[in-house]
Amino acid sequence: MGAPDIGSLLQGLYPAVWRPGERPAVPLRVLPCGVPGLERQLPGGGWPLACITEVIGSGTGIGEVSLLLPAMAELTRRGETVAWVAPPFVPYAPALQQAGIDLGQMLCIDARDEGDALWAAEQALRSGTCGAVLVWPGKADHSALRRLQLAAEAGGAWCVVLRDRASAGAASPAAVRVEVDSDGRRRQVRLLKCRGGRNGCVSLAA
Amino acid sequence: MAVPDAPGTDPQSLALWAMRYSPLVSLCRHQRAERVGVVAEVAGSAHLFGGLDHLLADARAQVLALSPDAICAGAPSASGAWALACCASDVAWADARTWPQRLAALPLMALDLPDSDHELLTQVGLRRVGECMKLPRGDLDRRCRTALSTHLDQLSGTAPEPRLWFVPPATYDRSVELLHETWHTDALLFTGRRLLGELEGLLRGCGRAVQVLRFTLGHAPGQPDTTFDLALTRPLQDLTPVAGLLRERLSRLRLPSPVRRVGLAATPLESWQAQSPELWPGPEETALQRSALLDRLRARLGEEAVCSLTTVADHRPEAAWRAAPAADGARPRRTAALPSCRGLRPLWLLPEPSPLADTPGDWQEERGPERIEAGWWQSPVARDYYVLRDACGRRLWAFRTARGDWFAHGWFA
Repeated sequence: MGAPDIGSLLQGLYPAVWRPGERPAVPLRVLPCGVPGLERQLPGGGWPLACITEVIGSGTGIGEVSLLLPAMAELTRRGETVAWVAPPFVPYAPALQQAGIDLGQMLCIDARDEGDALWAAEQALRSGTCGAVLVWPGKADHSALRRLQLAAEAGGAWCVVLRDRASAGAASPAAVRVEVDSDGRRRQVRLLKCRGGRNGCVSLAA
Repeated sequence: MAVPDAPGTDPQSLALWAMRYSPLVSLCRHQRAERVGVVAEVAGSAHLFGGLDHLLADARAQVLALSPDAICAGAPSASGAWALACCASDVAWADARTWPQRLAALPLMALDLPDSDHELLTQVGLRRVGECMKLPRGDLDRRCRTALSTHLDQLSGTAPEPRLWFVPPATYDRSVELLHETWHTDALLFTGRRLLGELEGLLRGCGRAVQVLRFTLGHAPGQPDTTFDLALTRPLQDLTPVAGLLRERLSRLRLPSPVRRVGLAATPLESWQAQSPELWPGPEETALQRSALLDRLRARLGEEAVCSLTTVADHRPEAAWRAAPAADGARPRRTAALPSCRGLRPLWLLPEPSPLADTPGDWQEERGPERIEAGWWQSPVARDYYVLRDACGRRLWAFRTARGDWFAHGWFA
């Protein structure tokens, strides 16, 4: 009689434990990603809801936010609110409209400092009325991200944290971490972490 | 139901508060027990609170928060409830079956007779109301200055009892003098809650709602008051969330000097339709939650910090959008269609066009030019817009003026 496999034992005891390289047993709620190359990599073909998605851009103007626009357009079509907390510039309404976003469902929240930005994002996530919350938190530490994660779980919302490259090395509770870079011609989207999906690199047209 | 309070307190405050239970509220005074207070007719509305027991328990919990001296009592007749409340030391409740017994056991002072009558009955040897009721009515009335037999019948609930009902003011504007000067948010919040409780009672009694609340913090005489408004996204009758907003607002406030007086003024809206709650949360529920979120965000971050966006039908890029007040999502808003905007637009627009170097050498032209020439009536622009890209792959929206100067105007984020 062979000893039971430790993997199957763990799976039986704790079905919610996810191990790298394995599709999750618990079905994920996902939001259609809408970016053809990226869909194949993400679990369930989209951004996981009730989770943090971390987007790391190497500079302004790379196209890091436009990666998220199709999913946001889908949300506003469903009549859900999308909140932008402390964006670095004014989101330009005509561009959002071109991307198919219903501007009536947009909410722009200005914050004076980092603490207010995180507080506002947490409130928006927890309220259960926002489908997605995009936050530019500056230097958020691990516990701040953890708080956002719990709020996203409570409200079932899609939380997107946009950060700069300096934070790429830090540990993060995000379910998906994406680094967006460019070689001058094409956008390189690197999945640094992808719970339930495959890590890898996708090359997209700019 | 009767709620007495210590003398010196303003019975209006209790009357406003008590209107949450019933629109029929009357002010009362008990000379002998030195109490002022209110009686409210709750038999008609008790079922809305889950029965008389629940109503009384709720009232008692709220009354304790208002004033530690206050108690409540209930009886089948208004003057009976008032007499019971003035003699009881804790919550007392009597229904039609137990009331004759309870009334008979009350001390003589519960009748609140003038001194001469009270002395007369005491000298006869009467101690309880019950002993008084056993006496022949005709003899009682002949010897006393007050119409004692009618009073006894009204107490037991067998005679009608005409009362002057409290008429609430059309607009709410009241203030409370603090016992001592304070800087503390918590002390101000406590008084603020009390005023909110009164206002909520008034709103429930009249079936109305408020949208704008004006708080006034009074300082020492000669100094200007600190005034601020709490504007709600949608009219509210249940003011429980407003206390949270008030806390956020007070903690953000910089007071010039300690506060001596807290005031609240609000005008109830004329037309307001209460919504029936749904079993399953529907769009109405979501809109309510959304407006609560907007209120919380505005209370902490400021009125202008939360907005929505809309497009404006204008060719000039900087005039083609504006911030719009964030709606509560109850009804969809129409946005202006852009006249033939086929060109690519950037996601980030710079607040002002910023000058680029003369010849953008390390920038490559990716798309363009798109000529925009408009605004002759206000601020004319004549620009050729290009999408530029640098070696790092960053994409910039820039334009060249007629003089050949380059300006950056946005980022394709």
